Amino acid sequence: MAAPQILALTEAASLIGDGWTVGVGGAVDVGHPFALVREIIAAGPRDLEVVAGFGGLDIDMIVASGCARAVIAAFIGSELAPARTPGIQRAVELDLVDLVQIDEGILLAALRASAQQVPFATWTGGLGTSAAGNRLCSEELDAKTGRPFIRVEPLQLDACVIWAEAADEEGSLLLWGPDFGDPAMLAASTLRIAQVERIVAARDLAEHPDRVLPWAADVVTAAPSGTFPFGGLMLPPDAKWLERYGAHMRQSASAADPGELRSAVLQLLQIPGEFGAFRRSATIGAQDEDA
Amino acid sequence: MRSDPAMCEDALFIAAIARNIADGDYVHLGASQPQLWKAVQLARMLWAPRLRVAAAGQFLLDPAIASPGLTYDPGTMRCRQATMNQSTIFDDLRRSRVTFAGCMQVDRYGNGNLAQVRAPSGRVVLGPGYAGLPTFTTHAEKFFLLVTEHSTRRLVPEVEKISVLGNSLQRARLGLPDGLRQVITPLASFILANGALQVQEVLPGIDEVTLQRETGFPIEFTADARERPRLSREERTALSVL
Repeated sequence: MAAPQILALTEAASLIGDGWTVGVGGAVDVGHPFALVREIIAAGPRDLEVVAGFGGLDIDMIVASGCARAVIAAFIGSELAPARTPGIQRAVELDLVDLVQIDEGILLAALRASAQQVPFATWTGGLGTSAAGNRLCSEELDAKTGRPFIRVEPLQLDACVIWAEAADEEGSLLLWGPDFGDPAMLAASTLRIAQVERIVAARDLAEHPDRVLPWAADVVTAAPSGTFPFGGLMLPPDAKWLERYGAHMRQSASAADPGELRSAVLQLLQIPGEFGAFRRSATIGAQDEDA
Repeated sequence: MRSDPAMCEDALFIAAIARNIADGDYVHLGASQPQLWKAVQLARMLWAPRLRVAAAGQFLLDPAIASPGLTYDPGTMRCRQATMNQSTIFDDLRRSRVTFAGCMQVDRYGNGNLAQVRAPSGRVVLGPGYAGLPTFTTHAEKFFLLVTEHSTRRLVPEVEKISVLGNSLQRARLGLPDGLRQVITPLASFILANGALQVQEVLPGIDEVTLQRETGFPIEFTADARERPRLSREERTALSVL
């Protein structure tokens, strides 16, 4: 097995190809590899199919930036920002993105089917609901019992991008706490990219054996406080920034030109420019509002 | 009348939820459910000391010492009691959690919708999505639908998308337990009878004309329909500290 690569953010982001199916980790307002997501937006790959379990507004930003042709997600939103998903809402209205809303259990079953290399998974959660009315699902009858079940097609990811507290040079990851469902994405991915707070020696990971995912990443990139504006290691989610995003995007979404959506996102994320500068500037902006 | 704390609409809504939580229940709280969190705490304080709670990314072995706040909030995660991993959250559907599903719409058959609704203009307004509610409620023998605003926009003849299957006839056809216990709104509580929702409880001060005006399908009352009981002194005291 090839040795994992330690790359800078921009190099890691450049690995994402046009048309790829990409899983994005984290849940709601916490644990998103946002420094990396921001670089992916800056690189501007086209026609991505984005997959998320409990997606945050980072998914909305990817869609608003014009990088995505499809989204498969169980949930996308924020507990902090009142606006739901202004970028996705507008992109759907303009027929720019295919939004597949799916049940989280079905999504995990699809990812596991890919990881376990089986032709399909079986599931019953969501029978009779619209959550099973998508291209990954079909209702069938069990030949033995006559009872209905959902046949779930495997969902293979070309890549996934997740956040972890730390990694070693062999790609072993130290999870921060709850796993957000990220291991299911890792297992179903061809290329596994982890954004971490710090890179450490293996013996440092081994001090926390219950939180280690061994050899789980093919690419590691370090970005301290890189989940900003979402929550992370010692960082609470930035409610003000997320509210500002929602308000700004609602305004921009009223325009018919999709280019305006991308411009609005790039402006908010201060692209072009480095993540560190964006984070410092965004934090200072919030402090100015408080003053 | 509404200024009487014992009849405050929001407080009674919380109480109406809490009164459906039994001691020993295993309740799951999702994102953005502050009223449910208060209801859980109310129940635990007054009649459900053995309540099991999964909330905000953790299992609360002792809810008395926790106040989770936001889902996966970094501040509270450091002190988490037991880790809830999203990867394994559906591993045991034999012991279903009691779910109180917050819905954008509920229809007269007891189906809930969190996916998308159509505005009067025809515009489709996206909701947050299904999350894990379809799976959580499929095999559940006890679940509830919550609607935080009782209006004709929210209580509709038929939902656009079914996120939670409450329809008892459809559930029977699929071999699923008849799990929907109530639909609870600030103005009323409904139960399923003969395949359709019927009003079992009404907020004090709300008459039938008002309730029908605010409901998007014809309402019927159960034989034992009653006024939503006012807050007890114990409930009022407990809510005042939450």
